[in-house]
Amino acid sequence: MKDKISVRQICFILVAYNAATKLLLYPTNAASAVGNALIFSALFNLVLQTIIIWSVSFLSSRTDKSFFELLENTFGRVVARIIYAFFALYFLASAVIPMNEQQLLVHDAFYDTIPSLMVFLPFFIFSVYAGVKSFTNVGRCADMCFPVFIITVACFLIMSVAEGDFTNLLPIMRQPVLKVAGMSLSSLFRFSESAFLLMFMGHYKYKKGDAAKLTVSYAAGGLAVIALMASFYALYGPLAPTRSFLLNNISVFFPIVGFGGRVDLFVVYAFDLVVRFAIVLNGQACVHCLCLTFNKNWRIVYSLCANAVLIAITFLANNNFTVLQKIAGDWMWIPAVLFAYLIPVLAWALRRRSRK
Amino acid sequence: MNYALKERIEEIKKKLPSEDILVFEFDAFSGKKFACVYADGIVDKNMIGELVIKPLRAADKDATAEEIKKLLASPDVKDGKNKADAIKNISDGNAVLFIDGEKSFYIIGVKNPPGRSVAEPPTQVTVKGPREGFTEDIKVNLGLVRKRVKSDKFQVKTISVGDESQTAVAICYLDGICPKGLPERIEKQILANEIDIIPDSSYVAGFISERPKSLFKRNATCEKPDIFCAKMCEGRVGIIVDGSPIALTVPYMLVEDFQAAEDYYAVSYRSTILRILRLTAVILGILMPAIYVCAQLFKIELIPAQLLFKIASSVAGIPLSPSVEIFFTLFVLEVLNEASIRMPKYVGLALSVVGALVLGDTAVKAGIISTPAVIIIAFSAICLYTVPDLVETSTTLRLLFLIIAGSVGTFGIVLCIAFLMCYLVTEQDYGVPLLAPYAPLIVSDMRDSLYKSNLYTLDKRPRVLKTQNQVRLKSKK
Amino acid sequence: MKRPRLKYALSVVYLLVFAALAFLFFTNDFGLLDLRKTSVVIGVALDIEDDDVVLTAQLAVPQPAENGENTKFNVVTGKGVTVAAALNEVNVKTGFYPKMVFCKLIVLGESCFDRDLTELLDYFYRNEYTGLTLSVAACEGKASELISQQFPCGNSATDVIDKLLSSEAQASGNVAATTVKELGEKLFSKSACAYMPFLENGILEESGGEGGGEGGGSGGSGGGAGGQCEESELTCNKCAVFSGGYCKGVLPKEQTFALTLLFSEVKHAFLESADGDEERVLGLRDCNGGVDLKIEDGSPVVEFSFKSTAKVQDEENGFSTEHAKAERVKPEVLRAGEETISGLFESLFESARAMECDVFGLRTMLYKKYYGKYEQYADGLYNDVTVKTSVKLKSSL
Repeated sequence: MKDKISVRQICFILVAYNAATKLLLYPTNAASAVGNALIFSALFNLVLQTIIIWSVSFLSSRTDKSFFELLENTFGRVVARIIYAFFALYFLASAVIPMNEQQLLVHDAFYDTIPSLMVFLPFFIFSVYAGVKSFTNVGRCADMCFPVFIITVACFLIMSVAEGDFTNLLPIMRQPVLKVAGMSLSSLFRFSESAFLLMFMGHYKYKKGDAAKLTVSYAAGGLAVIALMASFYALYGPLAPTRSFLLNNISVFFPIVGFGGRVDLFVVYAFDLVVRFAIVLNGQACVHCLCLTFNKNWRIVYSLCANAVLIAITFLANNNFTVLQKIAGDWMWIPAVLFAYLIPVLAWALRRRSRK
Repeated sequence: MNYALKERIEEIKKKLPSEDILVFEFDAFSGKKFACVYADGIVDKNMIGELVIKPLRAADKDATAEEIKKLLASPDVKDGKNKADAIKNISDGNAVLFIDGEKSFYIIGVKNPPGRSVAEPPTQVTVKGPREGFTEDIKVNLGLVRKRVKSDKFQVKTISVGDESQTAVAICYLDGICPKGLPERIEKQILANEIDIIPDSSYVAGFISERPKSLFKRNATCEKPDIFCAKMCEGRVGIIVDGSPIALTVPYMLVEDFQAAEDYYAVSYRSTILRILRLTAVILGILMPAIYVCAQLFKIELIPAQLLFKIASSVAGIPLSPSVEIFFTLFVLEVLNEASIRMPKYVGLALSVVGALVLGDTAVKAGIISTPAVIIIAFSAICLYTVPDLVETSTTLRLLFLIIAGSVGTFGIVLCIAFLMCYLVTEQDYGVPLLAPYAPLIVSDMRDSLYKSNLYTLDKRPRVLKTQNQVRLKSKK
Repeated sequence: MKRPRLKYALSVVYLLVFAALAFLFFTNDFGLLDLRKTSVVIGVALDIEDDDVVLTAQLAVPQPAENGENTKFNVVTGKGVTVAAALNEVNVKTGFYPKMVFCKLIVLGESCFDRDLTELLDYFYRNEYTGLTLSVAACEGKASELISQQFPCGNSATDVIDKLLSSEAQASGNVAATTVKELGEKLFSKSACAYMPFLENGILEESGGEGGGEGGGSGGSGGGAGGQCEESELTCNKCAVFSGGYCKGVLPKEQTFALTLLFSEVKHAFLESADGDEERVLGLRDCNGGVDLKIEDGSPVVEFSFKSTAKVQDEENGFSTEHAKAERVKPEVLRAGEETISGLFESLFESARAMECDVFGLRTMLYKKYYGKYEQYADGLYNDVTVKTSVKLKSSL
């Protein structure tokens, strides 16, 4: 098996990276759209995606083939390559929103005044460099990020839970269902980790019980997001929509921040480390897809191209983020449903035995 | 063939015309002629007198080479093979004995090069635990190792490296424990290089690394035989180079540098605390100047209000920008550090006075640099020396982080950490990842990583090393 | 051949990146602000003049000092249509961009009482660089005068007020302190009502170097040090109540105390209570108060609850061995204390009803707990609700 990754490392990815990208602008957007029902909107998406994650991981128990090999077996190489090319585009598109959200976080949490866009550009050097790395290294990065994630999330929770008023989440289920469903739909693209799991198929050795491990990991990551969102809303109540980022606002009321300065920002910076790896995972998956599409291992070239596109989008989206967000909210659910919900389910119909 | 003594000596002198190659010709009472050729200064002449010349006085005129060999009192006598062998051994510090009219010649081990005696190494001082350290003599060093590992599994492969220096390099390992094929791989890596001289083990370190240009070192170094033996017993290969008191061990993991010899001689919880302290100190040492610059330039919120006012008062009126100020202070520190190592000892005291008082105190009073900058840099320097084996890398990283902090800010620092993580996870030598047992995570190996478990739980050798025999402790307790 | 070329290209890229970083490092100007080009605002006072916002900022100006202990406090005033416009004028006047991240206090002058608070403080809710942790207080007269006042040498007005509103002062139950966040949460809730401490300023005569100002509990003062400072005495044991963004009145000391017993984390309070003719002061510890709204038999019931341990601090009749030997507080004394507290709660409720201010957050509670009945009871809640008090004092011995 080439480009190996272990089940444990995928579990870490499903916990940490899953949660990392959802804790940028998503809580504020959800609070703004559905108020105290924000956790139900997230919970609905989480349950849905968890089922898909279980489906994909359970499929791995039936075959040791990669998703590309399954496609190749069923439709032939050309179709498999075309599908992978579309997956590459999807991963590239998936990186846009979290990347731009991270750029805004950088402006908020890393600088006292808004810096120029140029300051954010070094991110792409990292993105190109990390994009070249194989799944083995992706897994090892996840090994490093997981403890950072656990410690930072624990810090966020400790620093916020005691200060929040959880009655702010009341009354439960009183927001119009359509409104909550609308928010769920527009944020569906944020819950799309099953697409990554499809890419990991065949790169890890399935053992009994791994499907349960992967599913529980994903659910745990999602629950961490929901717990932090609840804590955020408990803390700010009706003011939650005015705070752009949960991360740099959730711990400001903790006593130590009052007299020790913004020590909580160091926790935010540590968490941002995980966010970066979570964002470049899209790039890494995109490069993986392109390698198989073109059947050439020109990782550096693919990584450069993918990041060139992302840089172009970042320049275009600069100062137009709300437009970008609107487009994502209105349209991104369509590819998300296709690549992270429908295809993973339809993968069960693919031929799992090799053609003779 | 003519085996006349004079002609053979001339042949040798042709190859080794140097004046320090001495030839001592002597006769037995019977008139039998002998010649002893050796390099002056690196042989024990008394031993030649006692073990070679004295017994050979009694040799018969008709005695054969074999009979003469039996007369030699030295326990270290080998048959010489050819002229090249004779020349190599003479250069090595052995004496070569020629017998008039005989084809055979003998190599007598009377090597005694000048060197220091076994002492406590200056870089790995321990309060508790053995104090012996390696010397520059490979034989002494191998003796120190053999003294500790008496097992028949202990194997030494000696190879000569360096076209001109012919330096002996000993590859030591425990057969049946060390991963199969690893010593051979290392030997091949070393022999794949042709170099004129090997003045120190660091040259060999470069040869055995699979990525010699790496920012991080790829092998562990030690000056103490107890550490060397312990690492061999874990399944690593040790390399001792003649002329160097620093031995190498491979494969290497970054976490090794945070483990001190004393950790194994102290109680486990104390060792764990110390290891975490070292890690924290190194992280602080690398990042503190960078964070200080960032806090002043980009995110003053990082500093508590009261401290901010104090810092602001200190830096008010300083002509340099915060980043240049720290850079300048760091530059002064590095210059002082370099000078204090290279300078003759008798100037050392004066240098300390000049460095601490003139440059430090006066520069602050003159308003060229601020007090916080001096504190930050001084503390950073102290922090980095808690892990001396990593100082070369950590000082480079400190400078890198400082430049990034002064140019890109806090975002740059975090990005650089991400870069570094990504870089480190890809680094591996001989199949052992540099960041093991953390990336990839090997839970069983974490018992002796930053966390130090008690001896009874360290019953297995590190899994990541893929040793032939995993069990290292069987306790009946 | 390809690999060495790629490696060479990569080394050139690394070199260029490093050169660019080094260039930025030594030139270092992104148009960002650094500590030396910034004025740090530690407190602001807001007044309304001619419908404009007058913002008086107290700035910390660090002075060069080797030991780093030299900070002067200046006051600069800016005027504008909004807080942001006024701040911009401060910038124009000082040449330094006013940095609000260390601002810990907003004082509102009496002139702000007629202005919608949510509108006035909008800047603080929108600005990501200004935390919501800063304290808010109202004051009598002009806030700008208060913040410009000299307090015992070295202490800025902000520091003095900050001490009065500190968590230690709140623990005594005399200060109903609040932050911008709490204020916003309450004003934007269904109750749309909030309160904040009300500072009263008494300027004492000039002291000629005799130090030793009186602490005096939460009505503490900036009493103090020698020198030729004009001593001021600040008290903040009242609170201003806002409803729908506008000030509805100032609660007296006793009702403020009752409010803090219900909503603040009071650790050690003093309660003056009378049992017949005898007056005494009870020390209350481990206080635990709260308000609860229930619907009982189809009608809303509000219950004020309070529990604490009590100990007699002193009595009007003075100390005698007879009194001192009593180990436990007498039940009648406890009962008198309970009645006093109940009376305070009831009086506070009456004031709230009279001012039409939902200071207890009853409408919010109704909305959260009895969402279905919100429409039914919300409007006439203060008239329809039945008030119950449950006060329990225990002897601390």
